[in-house]
Amino acid sequence: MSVNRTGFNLIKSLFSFTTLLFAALMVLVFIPGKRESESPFVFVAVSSAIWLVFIWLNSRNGTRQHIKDITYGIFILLIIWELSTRVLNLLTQALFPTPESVFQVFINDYKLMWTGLFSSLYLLFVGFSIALILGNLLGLFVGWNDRLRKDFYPIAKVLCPIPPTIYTPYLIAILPTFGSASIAVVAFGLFWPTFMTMINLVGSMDRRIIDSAKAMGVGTPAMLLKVILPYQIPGIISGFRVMFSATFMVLVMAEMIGAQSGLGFFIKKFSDYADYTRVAAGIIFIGIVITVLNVLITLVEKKCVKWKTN
Amino acid sequence: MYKVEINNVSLLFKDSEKEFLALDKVSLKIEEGEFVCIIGPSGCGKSTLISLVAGLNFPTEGEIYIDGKTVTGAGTNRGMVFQHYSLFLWLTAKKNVSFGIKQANLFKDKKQIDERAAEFLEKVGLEEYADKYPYQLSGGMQQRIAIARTLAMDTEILLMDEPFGAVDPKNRLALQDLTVNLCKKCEDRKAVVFVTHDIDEAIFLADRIVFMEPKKIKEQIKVGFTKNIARDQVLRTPEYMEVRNRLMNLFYEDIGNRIGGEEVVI
Repeated sequence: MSVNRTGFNLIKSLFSFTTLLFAALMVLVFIPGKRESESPFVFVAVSSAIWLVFIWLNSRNGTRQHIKDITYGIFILLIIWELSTRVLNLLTQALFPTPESVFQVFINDYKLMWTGLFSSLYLLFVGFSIALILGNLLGLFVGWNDRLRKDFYPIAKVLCPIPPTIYTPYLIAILPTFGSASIAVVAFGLFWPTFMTMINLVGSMDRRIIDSAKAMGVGTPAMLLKVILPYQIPGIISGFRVMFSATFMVLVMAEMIGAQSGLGFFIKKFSDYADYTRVAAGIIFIGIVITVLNVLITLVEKKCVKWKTN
Repeated sequence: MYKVEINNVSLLFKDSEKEFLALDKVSLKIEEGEFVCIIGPSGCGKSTLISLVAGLNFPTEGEIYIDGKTVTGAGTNRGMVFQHYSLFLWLTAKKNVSFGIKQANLFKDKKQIDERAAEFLEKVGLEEYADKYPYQLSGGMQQRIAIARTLAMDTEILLMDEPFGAVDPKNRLALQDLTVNLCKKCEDRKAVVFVTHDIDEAIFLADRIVFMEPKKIKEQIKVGFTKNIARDQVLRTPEYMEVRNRLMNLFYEDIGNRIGGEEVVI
């Protein structure tokens, strides 16, 4: 039954509008154009990969509209890009590179991109860990204690909306290495919103859960760590998701100021040389990294929050 | 010495703008092993009173004694079953029960805790659902697990705040029978304070019914059939009709008073 269904879905997605768009793109790639360009090999490989992932997702889960729509969007964008640059040469060559040459960068500069990726991820990971652990634990504690909450909440409210990019140059100046400054920027930028969200979560917590724990004689440490913390895990993760995008922005900006490697550094360096082919490749690369990290967050969420319906 | 002694207790809720007197000089004594039902119209302060005994709130005047000692907060000598959502959503049924056992400090050994949790899940007939999360269970099942959790803690006093208020009528009867079996028919009977607004539930369960009107206790009625007779037999006894009529009168008198003291035709 399920094999039949998968087979049916496979055939259905093979003969779909997406496939038509993919075929159109492949035809365009191989017709001679008005502009010279790199070999189309990587571009064709990436487009085929997108198409294959679409087929795989569809045959596994049945057709879902948003996956279809997103794939349409990607292919239509690529067709317009290919048409307006390489085939018809409608746009200025210096500002609008062809997709072929942009995707070729992934092969030519792979070393620089991977070191950039790992150095960015390292900063992100350390900064995030510091902010999440401190922010959530302190927020838990401060949110629970009436006096501390009234003391610290107004302070957090003032500091939270100040964008970390404002004190980025200052932190880079006072901290010894660029690495520690970047970590501090990420940690700072993330700490206040995490802290404030946690105070709010504790404050708006279901009284009935707290009462039922109290009635069982639960003391303060156990109340915080064994009752309130696990109850708030879904809230923490969804807050994390929102802050994640913001932090990525902050990180890239921090790297644009003084790093020696990193995703932001990569873009900054080549836009200084007006090398927009590499800039475009860097932007696409960041997009892919964010997508992969978001998928990972979703997996972690599914693993941690088995007890919620949705 | 009484198991629970509520002595001239008042509770005044205050915020910046207004004050509200929830309880006005209430006194009540409960003996060891006694099952007391508190009944009364909504908003009469019955849930507030039970939360004071639990130690979740504190009286602004008067004292509450348990075994002669003043209540200073929640403690593991009392177990409480709430009307709603009292289970920990992030724990499975069995882990919820184990949480209570650990909290009551009955055993240190994990295996013994597990065994006791399983034993009490079996008592409420949910041993098959040990590994389900609360959202996977119906309201009645969740309430049975809450009862198992509280009973497994082996407290001397059980406080139940409208525990079956949100359960459908059929399950409600089953849960009442379960309560009788687990709380009244066993050897070492616990003192139980049971808040309800269901007259039949009160008559069926209680040794003594305490009728509250807003802020105070109006009347106390001794009952006491449930020793060995079944529910349908209880319904046929003249005492049942008598107690029921008296409670009905108390309820309607109260409504009449609130509307304006005139005779009310319903």
